[in-house]
Amino acid sequence: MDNLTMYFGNYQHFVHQTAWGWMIAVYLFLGGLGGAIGALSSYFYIIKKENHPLLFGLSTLIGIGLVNFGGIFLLIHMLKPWFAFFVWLHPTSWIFWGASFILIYTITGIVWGLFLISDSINFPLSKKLKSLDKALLDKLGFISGVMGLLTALYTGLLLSTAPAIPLWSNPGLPVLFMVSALSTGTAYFMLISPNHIAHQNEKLDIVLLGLEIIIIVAFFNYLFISSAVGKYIVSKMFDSIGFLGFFVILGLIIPFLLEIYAIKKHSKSILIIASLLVLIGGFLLRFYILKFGYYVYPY
Amino acid sequence: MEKLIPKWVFVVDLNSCVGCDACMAACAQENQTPYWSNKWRTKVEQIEIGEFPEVKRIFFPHLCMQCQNTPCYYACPTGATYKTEEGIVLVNHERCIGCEACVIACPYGARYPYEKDDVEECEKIYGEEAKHTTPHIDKCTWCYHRLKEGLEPACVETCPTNCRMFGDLNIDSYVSRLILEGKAQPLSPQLGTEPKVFYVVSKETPIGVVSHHLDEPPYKQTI
Repeated sequence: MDNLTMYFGNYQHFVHQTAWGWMIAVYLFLGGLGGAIGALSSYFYIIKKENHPLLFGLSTLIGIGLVNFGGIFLLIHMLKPWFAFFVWLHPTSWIFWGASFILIYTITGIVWGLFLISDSINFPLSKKLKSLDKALLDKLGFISGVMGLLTALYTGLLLSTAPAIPLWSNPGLPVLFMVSALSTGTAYFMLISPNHIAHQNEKLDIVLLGLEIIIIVAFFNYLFISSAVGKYIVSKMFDSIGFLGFFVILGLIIPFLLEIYAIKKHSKSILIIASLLVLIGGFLLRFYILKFGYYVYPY
Repeated sequence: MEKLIPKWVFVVDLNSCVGCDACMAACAQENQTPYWSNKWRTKVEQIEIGEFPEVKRIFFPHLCMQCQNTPCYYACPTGATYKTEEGIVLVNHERCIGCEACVIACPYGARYPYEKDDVEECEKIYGEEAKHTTPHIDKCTWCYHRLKEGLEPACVETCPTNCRMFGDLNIDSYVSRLILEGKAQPLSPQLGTEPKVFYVVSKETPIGVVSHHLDEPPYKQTI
């Protein structure tokens, strides 16, 4: 290493975090996607009054499945996963709150989701569910949606408690993760919904992707002016074909443009390509945020 | 008269560290740290900088800072990380699930995973006297078990150059004067963690250079 350039800040080397790798990225991605699917299901069914119980019921169940499947990756990563229930012992930790959001989302979402699909699909409890109070079930659906949204938000808050990792410990990251999670949620609905729901999601996703681009640009700005490690991270990001090429261009800007194009042309095939790119971009965002988590050690 | 709770503090004088690693050996022996996996509770970073003939070697000892405002304590979801009445941060091995939230939260790189393989090796080496019988996240305790017996931490007792010094801020001593007179400084005070390890800075060992030479966190970790 050239010592002179190091002292003048042109070539600084910061310590790369290696504790959390791709498995945690999968956990964060599926947590965000699954939570957002639940939040959007409740939003469209309860607030927008879109009468598609089978679609939103199944989607809520799929969302819960994704969140819990993602949780398996966190469990595999733990040294003692069979004692994972201990996470409910210390409320100052975001994992405590995340596990609580996921638990409430799972319980309320399963009841609400099963109720919604009980009209179309017969299963052992369907008759009992149909006899439950409608107002109570609406409340459960609302709670499920809020908990889904909080689960998506939690994935960003989890990383923000590392004071020595400037890319993570800032108020922008939870916002970025939540916007990205909602964007992947709308991508899911664009893939599987009937046309008019897909169209609504497309309009919503254009706004979300636009917001995400603004937040990413703001992140570059913050990193570049904030500190030496910030400049180092920006230089690493611009050197990375994966981040710049696959996430920023293929996973963010191109789907944004494709969706604007598809809304004018009413093209379903373009919409499907854009949705898949958004989903891949959602995972890559979390992967690279973990990858570029550089410590600033004081020695 | 009621006995004052000690305000234990640790001072590292960078002028006198010679990089003998006796502190690491004493700590590994006392606390059964997994030296076989190159994981340490305390470590002396040894960095060569410059090019011949303008070359020098610098030494930088570090350990858990026992922060007053403790990021690892807040990040721990299980309560396995806890603080004693004297402010020493300890880990309950049985309660720890090894999620590594504390490893990420520590701004000083003081924590590492004591994995299943390490536990097996520890039991193989130390037999019935093994102190690590279950996987957990491990960290320096300032040898709390020794402090309770009125002894100094093993690394302090072993250090041949008095680079490592230990004291009680309630009692007037060389150590407490170094801190109260500002001759010894904490690391990263801007984070508000209020670390209780203080460094007497040396011209030969500037602070903030060592980590630029490290490729991975000071304690080897898993992906």
